[in-house]
Amino acid sequence: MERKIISKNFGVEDSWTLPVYEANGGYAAMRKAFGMDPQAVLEEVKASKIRGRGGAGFPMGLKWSFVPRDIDKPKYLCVNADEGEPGTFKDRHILENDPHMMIEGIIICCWAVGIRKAFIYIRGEFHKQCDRLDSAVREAYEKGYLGRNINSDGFDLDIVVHRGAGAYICGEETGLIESVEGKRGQPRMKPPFPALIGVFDCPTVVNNVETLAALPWILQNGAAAYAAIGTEKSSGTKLWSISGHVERPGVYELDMGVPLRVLLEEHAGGVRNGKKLKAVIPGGSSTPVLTAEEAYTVNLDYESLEKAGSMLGSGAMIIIDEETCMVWVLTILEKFYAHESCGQCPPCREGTAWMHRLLCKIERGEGTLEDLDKLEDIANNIGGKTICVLSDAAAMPAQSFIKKFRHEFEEHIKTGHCRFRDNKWTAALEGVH
Amino acid sequence: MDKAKPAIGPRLNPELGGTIRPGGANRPGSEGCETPFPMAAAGAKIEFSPETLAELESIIAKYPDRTAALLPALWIAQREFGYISHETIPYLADLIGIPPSQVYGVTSFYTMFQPKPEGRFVISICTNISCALLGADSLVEHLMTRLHIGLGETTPDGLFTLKAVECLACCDGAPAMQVNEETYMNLTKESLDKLLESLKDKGGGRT
Repeated sequence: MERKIISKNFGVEDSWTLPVYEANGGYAAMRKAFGMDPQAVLEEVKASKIRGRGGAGFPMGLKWSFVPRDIDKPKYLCVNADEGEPGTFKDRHILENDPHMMIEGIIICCWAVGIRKAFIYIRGEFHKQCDRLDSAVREAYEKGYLGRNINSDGFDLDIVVHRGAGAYICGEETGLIESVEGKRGQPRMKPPFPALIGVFDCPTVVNNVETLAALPWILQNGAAAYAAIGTEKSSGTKLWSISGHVERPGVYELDMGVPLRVLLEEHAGGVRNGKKLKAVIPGGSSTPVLTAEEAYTVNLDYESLEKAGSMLGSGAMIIIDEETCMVWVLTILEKFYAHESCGQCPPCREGTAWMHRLLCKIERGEGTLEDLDKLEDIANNIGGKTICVLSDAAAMPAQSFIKKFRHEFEEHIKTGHCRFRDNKWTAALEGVH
Repeated sequence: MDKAKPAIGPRLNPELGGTIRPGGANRPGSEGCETPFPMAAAGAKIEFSPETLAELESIIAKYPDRTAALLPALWIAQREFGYISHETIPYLADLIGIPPSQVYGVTSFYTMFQPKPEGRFVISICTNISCALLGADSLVEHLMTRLHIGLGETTPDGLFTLKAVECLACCDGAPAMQVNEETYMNLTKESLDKLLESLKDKGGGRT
């Protein structure tokens, strides 16, 4: 069902400004948190069972609890606003419409964990969103919600907005940390995990925009109320991004556990132009594709999607209609991973580039069955062999597309022709720019 | 093509003094075109104003380590000079206190730092999945035909640079693109034509 927690101010006039946010109850949760012991705030977040909304779905409270309490080093929060997973645009809506809700969440997190400096890593392409965020941070400083002694009891907190510059990999938490440090965004080996050794070699929490934005509601209404929404293992609401061949693309806030069919048909208006559904990529481009049949029977929560052989990821549905060539779709996805591979691990750097090349060949109608075997072989062998999961993210679409739509790949090879696109080839698809 | 001028190799126009000029004025075929906007005059010394230096120092102070300010420093340099030239790299290295190779390694990693001058209007059109499903590739072809340039190229008058980019997180308004810092959504060939016309009027170009 529809329930507005994070998106409650979306569409309100000047919703991104402090006066409007406060008029709608903003910053009350921060005050409530300051009245609580930090450990009690952490326990509350744990009890809400909220899981990270960036893609990995790691329990937020548990992540915080890994940060050592007493340590003679500063602790940091890095906010992941590097939204780049194809199909995902929920954080853009939060940054545009309600940056203060996220800032309030940041303050709550920092109070609970004992952090005095937060870096908001925002992707470089978010120009307007960065302006709104900058102005919201400025407002919060002016109002005394950031800076020195913000709780009248000596608690200091600074926020630094750090702009990225066009690199998908900086959405990976250790890549993000490297980028905050002014380096290439090449992920680090884990362990050590950021909770122990993160940015500037200090304990670091990395949380997604949407996860942080849920905190004010959790503090105000209690962990039990939040945990009661959704399913047992997937609590709360989620901002679902839905795009592609759909009548009303957009962001919809619905409870976890909602059937995909309800989101697609009741909220987003169904498949565009009355066409039939062919497939859905359910959680951002990296997650295994679902056939129409699977999509119509799956619920949107971590456990249901896992059972269906896919993942909830960032909750970004890409709708693909019956007239779409799946070889072409996969070629676009693999071009993306080849472009975004940071280059430090050969299986990923070489594997993604080769997958893209082989797919171009097959889509052009010049592929052989050996090429298809090779493609599958690469997809089956790059995952889990690299520092970060970008190789897995590239392998999962390839494996699932070939498994579920093998006939389309074989047809291209046998006929030397793409019947969906009539071998129409475009420059945008070929080169990795 | 005139045999005296190499078809490939460094795209420098000897008539313009062999210095990379902003706005694509040194691209092959652009001989005699005036640079339509003076982002950084040819041969100008790479140096921040005292105000910009103070801005950078105030940013550096926000981080526990000077190196962390490299991305903001590169953004400032690009804002001031239009792109990250070979001269900018040692200058920034000096300001931050790191080797030039480290600055180069970082600037070349990120797609939004430009190693060469770009057009006045940089068109970054998304070709990733949601935009592609709704016809982004035909829009790219349309732009290439309209502007008579390929991807990654700049029109001879220095007005437009065309790029295909990855997901802009604007899939709800697919097909989408950015022109400089402005985002345009739900694009059609007609809306693109209209936009190009208004940009040409704004830029006073002759494409």
